[in-house]
Amino acid sequence: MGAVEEEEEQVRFKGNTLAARIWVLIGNGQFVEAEALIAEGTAAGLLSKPQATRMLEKISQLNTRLGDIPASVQRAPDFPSQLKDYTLFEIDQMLQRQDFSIAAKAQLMMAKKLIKEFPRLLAK
Amino acid sequence: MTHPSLEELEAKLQEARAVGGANRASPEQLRLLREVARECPAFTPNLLELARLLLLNEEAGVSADAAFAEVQRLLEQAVRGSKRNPVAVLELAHFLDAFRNVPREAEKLYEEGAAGALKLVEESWTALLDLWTGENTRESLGKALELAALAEKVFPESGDIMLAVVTARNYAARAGLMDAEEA
Repeated sequence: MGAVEEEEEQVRFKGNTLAARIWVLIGNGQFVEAEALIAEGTAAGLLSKPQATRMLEKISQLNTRLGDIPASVQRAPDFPSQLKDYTLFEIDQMLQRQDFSIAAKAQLMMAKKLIKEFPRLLAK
Repeated sequence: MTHPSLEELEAKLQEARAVGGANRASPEQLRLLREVARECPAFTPNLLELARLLLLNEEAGVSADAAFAEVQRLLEQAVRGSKRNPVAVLELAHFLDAFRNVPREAEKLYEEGAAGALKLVEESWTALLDLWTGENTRESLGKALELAALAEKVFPESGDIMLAVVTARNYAARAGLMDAEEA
C-alpha cells in the first residue's frame, strides 16, 4: 500500500513538472514542441486526459484569429478590423513588445479581450 | 396582475430553450425571454441568459448600437436586482471591458467581483474546516489539514480562517495525526 502511494506521488510530481514545462512552451508560442510533449506525456501516463485537453484548448485559443470570432461579437463599436488576420498569440506579442505599428494599445487590448470573450459566452 | 410563480418562470425558460438553442437563439426564444424580463425584472438568471444570447446572435432589423444598449441595460438590471451578486457584477465587467472599451470601469467591477467571490470562498472554507474538524475522524481531519494548509496561505489576515486552522490542527494533534514539530 505504502509503495503504491509513493509511486503515485512520484508520478504526480513528474507530471506536474512536465505540465509546467509545457505551459512555458505554450506561453512562448512553441506550439509544435508543446503538442509533441502533450502527446508523449499522455501516452506515458504523466499527463491526465483532462489536463491534455485543457492545454490543447489553450493552444487553439492562442491560434484563433480576431476574424474567426462570430460576426455578432465583431459588431462592437471601435472593432479593430485591421487586426482580423492576426492570432491571439500575435496580438499578445505586439502588446508585449509595445509594437503599436498596426494598432493602438487600446485596440490590441480590445482584440485580445474579444477573442477571449467569445468562448466564455458559450453555454457551458 | 399576480406575479408569476417560480414554477411558471422555470417552465417559461425551459420553453424558451426548447424553441431556440443554447447559443443560437431563435426570434421566438428571444421574445419569450424578453417577456420574462418585463414581467420579472429582478429574476437575474433570465437577464443574464438574455444578455448572453443577444451578444452571440445578430437580430434582423436591430442595429448593433441598439443591441449593445439593451445588453448593457439587462446587465445593469441584473447587478441591481441581485444586490450586486459577484456573478452579475462580473458579467457587466466583461461586457464593459470587451465591448465598451472602458477598462477603468471594468477594473473596478472585476475588483468588486473578486472581493465578493473571495468572501464566499473564505466563508465556505471556514465552514468546511469547522465541519470536518467537528466530525473528528481520521478521514475528516485529513481533509481539514489539507484545506488548512491552503486556507492559511490565501487568507492569513482572516480571523475566521486562522481560528478554524489552528483548531483543526489541535484536533489532529490530539488524534495523533500530526508530527510533533507540525503540531
